[in-house]
Amino acid sequence: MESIIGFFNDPYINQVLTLTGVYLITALGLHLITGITGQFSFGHAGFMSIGAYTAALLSLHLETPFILNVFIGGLAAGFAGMLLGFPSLRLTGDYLGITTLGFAEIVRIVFINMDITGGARGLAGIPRDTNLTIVLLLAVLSIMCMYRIHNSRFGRALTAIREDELAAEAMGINILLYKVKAFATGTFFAGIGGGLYAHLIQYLNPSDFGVSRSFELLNFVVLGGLGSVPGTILGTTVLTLAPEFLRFVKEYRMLIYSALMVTMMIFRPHGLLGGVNFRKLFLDLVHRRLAQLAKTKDVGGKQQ
Amino acid sequence: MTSLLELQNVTIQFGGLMAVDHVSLKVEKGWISALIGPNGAGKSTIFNMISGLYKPTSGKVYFNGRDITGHKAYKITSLGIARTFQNIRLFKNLSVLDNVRIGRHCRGSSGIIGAITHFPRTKAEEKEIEEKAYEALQTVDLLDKKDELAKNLPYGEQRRLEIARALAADPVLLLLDEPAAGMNIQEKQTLMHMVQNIREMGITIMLVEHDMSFVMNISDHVDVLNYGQKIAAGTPSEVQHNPDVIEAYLGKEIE
Repeated sequence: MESIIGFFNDPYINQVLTLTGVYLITALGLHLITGITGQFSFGHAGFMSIGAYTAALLSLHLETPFILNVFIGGLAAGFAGMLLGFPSLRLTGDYLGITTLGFAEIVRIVFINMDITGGARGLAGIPRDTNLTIVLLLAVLSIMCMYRIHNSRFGRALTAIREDELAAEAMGINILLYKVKAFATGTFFAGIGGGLYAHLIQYLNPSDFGVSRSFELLNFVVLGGLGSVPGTILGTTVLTLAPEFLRFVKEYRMLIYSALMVTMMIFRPHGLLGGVNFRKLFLDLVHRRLAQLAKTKDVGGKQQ
Repeated sequence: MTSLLELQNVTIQFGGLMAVDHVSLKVEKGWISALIGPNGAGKSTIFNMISGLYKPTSGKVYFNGRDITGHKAYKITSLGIARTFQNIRLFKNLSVLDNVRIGRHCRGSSGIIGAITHFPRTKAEEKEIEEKAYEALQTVDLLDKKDELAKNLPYGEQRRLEIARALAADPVLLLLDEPAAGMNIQEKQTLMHMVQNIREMGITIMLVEHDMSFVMNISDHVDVLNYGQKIAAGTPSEVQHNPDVIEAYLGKEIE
């Protein structure tokens, strides 16, 4: 027991785990947009930065409570997502991807050129309020939200849009409105993640939220398996921890990353846990066990 | 008395092609009404205009006396017109039950807040959705397959699932686009009984179908299209003896 507490109290371990949790919350937002609704967003880091800067600036200038700041950061990102969503979610596939990519770049450039954000020098001195407990709590809460959304009328409408837009519309689903709702909710989670990130790293720089960060987030979601919450958790954990274990290869990290991605595309095109239905797996297992039991009983009966 | 559905001089043009040319037709409440014609006559196009997927170039569509021309498809569904598709468009990777639950979408109201908080109201609505879905699956005899993925069903059952999904929306008018396509004789028989049962539930049915014995056995009224124009209308026997219809299907007699 002592050793377990000691393990989590180790500052390095603690930091890495907290960061994983923060990424997980952000990635769950993207899971809703890309995995559930099927809309590709290449600019998730941009929304993360909106949340991060909003929360950080509130903490620095207004000194309002930390959790409130993070929440407002989430709302700001969600609002930005909604504003971007209405015009751009009429686009599909590649075009939507390009628009979101462009939007994230615009956000980055705006933050570089603003005085209040410290421009390219970055924003320093943010209080370290994020800790493992809060992040874990929020991560569990986010996972619960995802499951509830998935098993609701709202979530089913989103999945219907992913599966077949035309049929979804014929079922009475207002496609654009639901896409925007999903996008706003997803970017809200990105904002929450951003706010937590700011109060963990204590320093923000617009270049932290560039294209590579967006793609990293997309990798988290895709590697684990699009549309699967356990997949997103697995993908985020593996890809956040892998660089820590691979510290000795440092700059070759991206090389391994891409090799991993290509291998994945060949062997598991739907992600590690893509298309795996845990409930069904479990039920099948139980059924098989029962059948086996019944069989052995049968055989036993005949022998007698 | 107004007809349940009325098309007045509906026309749609795709570039230079007049896919549907000044077609007027009526569907009365309680009818099983069929729309027939050779391939490319514009039958499915008419369905797409009624259900709001296409906007007519000119002409009007009235539903229950209300002008629904050019309304969005999702709005038309909530007014009470549900449909199936000629080339099956199920949500393939979802379970049979989920497909039907999604069909119920337009009759619900709970959104994202309800989803996360699980208020009693949302729970009650979920329960109602599930009950209706079970009912619809029962009607097409697919209840025992509710946990299968839609894509794993055999072809005929996929067609029936599409009907169940449309029924879940509590439609007043049900549009069936070639419901019997690709079915064998037994499956067609079962389908015919199902369609008649659905009519007995008080739902008016309009169908596009190529199988003539199916159409002639089941319909109260038949409209015939050829090259986007309406060439005949009436009871099945009237239509069968109409020289224009015979010409459209079999060609002209040489004198």
